[in-house]
Amino acid sequence: MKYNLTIAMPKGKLFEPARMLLEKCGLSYPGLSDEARTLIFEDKEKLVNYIVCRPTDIPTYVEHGAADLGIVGKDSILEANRNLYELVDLKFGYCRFAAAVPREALSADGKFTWKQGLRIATKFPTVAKEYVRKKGLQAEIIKLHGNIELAPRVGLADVIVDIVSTGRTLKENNLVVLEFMGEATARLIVNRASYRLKSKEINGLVAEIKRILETEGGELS
Amino acid sequence: MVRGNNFHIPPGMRDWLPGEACRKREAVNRMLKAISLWGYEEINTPLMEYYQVLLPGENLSGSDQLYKLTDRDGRILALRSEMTTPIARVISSKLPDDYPQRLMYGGEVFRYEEIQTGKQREFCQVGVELIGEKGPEADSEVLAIAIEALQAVGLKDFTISLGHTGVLKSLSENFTGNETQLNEVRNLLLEKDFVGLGSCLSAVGMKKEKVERILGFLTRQFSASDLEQLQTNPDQGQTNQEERQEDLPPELAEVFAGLRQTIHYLKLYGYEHNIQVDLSTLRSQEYYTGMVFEIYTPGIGYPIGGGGRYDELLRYFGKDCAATGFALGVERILLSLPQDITEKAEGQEQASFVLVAGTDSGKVMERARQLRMTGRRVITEAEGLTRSQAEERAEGKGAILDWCGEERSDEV
Repeated sequence: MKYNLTIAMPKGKLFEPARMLLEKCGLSYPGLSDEARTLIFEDKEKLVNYIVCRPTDIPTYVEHGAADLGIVGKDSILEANRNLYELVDLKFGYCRFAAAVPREALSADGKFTWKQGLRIATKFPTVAKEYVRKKGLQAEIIKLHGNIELAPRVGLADVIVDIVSTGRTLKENNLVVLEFMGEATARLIVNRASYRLKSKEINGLVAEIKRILETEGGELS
Repeated sequence: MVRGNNFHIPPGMRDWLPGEACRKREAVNRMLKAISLWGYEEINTPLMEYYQVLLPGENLSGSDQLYKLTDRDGRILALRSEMTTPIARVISSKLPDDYPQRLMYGGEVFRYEEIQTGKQREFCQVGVELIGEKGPEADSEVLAIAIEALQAVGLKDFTISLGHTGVLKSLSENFTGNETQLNEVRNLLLEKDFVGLGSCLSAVGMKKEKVERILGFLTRQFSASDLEQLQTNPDQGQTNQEERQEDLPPELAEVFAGLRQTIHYLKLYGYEHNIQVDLSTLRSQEYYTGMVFEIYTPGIGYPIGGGGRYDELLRYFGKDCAATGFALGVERILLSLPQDITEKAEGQEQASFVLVAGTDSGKVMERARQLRMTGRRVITEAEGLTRSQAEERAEGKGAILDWCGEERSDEV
């Protein structure tokens, strides 16, 4: 089958399961890797272009139609808040959003008292703002690009909002989860126009992906 | 004195330079011309309105996207963010009750979009409103006009996704959840978050098979001929278990019947190939009440236009009157057209300037007047250039030199 599609693939931990999923759909391309210097791979036989980019940028690529499809975590989709269509829950890459604080910030009975004007360090300012708004609090959001767990240790922030998969990083940094505020897994997203104009190709691929997810269940995760 | 800020324009605004501006005006004119052939008359409303007048045009589930300002009496004004609502105001207050009314417009609107998405905040819309006509004939008329307007600027490859607000209505009638959850369903459908929609429908107790089936229909696109097949399916379905899954969920039957009618008329216009039915098509304006559509073209990641039926909007202004219409985004259409499309049409002759120069100012002006009367575009240079200087200047401007001097060249 010829697809004539451009697919945006996420660098990092989602890359390998995403690549494997596509491979099971018959879309394999030798050398497709997130560690190569090349960022574009052209499968001339099946007419598929792969773009390898940072997960946080994938919603942007897809919204503008630079890629028809993208595979990316729900966390990045929520944060990007873009106008795009979310078609399939790919089930892998499970993680949760959590608010966490240093253990010593808890009272003797393990409670944390929210005060007005706390500083929250996060990679996800949109998500953090929404969280704070729902709790009816005022807080200063400090946007960082990585290693959020460092912020409370050096006095940059009182609370962090981050994604947690195993919780090991938090533990190692002596942070405890106050509450979980939503789950995220990898999703297949699609550009609005591509969804209409390439519906045959996209629906073909979506059907294939769904079939594989049904038969293999959680094996991909 | 030049200050730092003097060269800047507000984010989302743009200047249209020579060439670009001409191309844009040409596109607008051609579309309006094509629309006027259907008996539509142009209407214009102010750029600025009272804030509350414009509210029905806004998506109220989020914050509105209006540019607001206050006048000197402290009243809140806003720049129009689309044309349908101001036109509805005019119809209700200033036009005779003489229906149907066929109106068209071309003008700038302002919307406070998130700038990071690369969208402009000031943009030009060309569109129509067909007021006082119910039913699929009227819907198909505006769809056909949209198609012809796009063809008039030379756009060939585009698809109209046709949907119906009844999808949401029929989902909600079979819906056991509360108002908040229903709003969530609406937003999820609007955002095309099918993953979220699936889990939301399951959460309010819809059976898994039913959720799958409804999602299946929402994520499928039907061509005009697919739609006909669906019509005949129920009979076959009774004998064949396999096809049952493919049967129209009863919740969506009414919607399909309506769309089928619209497509029936579009066929009579010969435009059914530009259409596909996509039940997930929804518009962000909440005033739509019937068929809705969005227009897509390859290479542009956003719709280049859209519209639909809005039978309730006029009630907001105290009139109970059916209406349907569309708006096309001129900038997005220009992006999807080849660069030279309007230049070619303008013709080489008309496009190039004539530079009239010479030693005698009187003769230069007289000659220029003559040429202008024949429809040529003329620049004059009366400041005593020598012939070779004039030749050089003409070449620099890409103009044809008309020399009125002793050794005057005879013809252009």
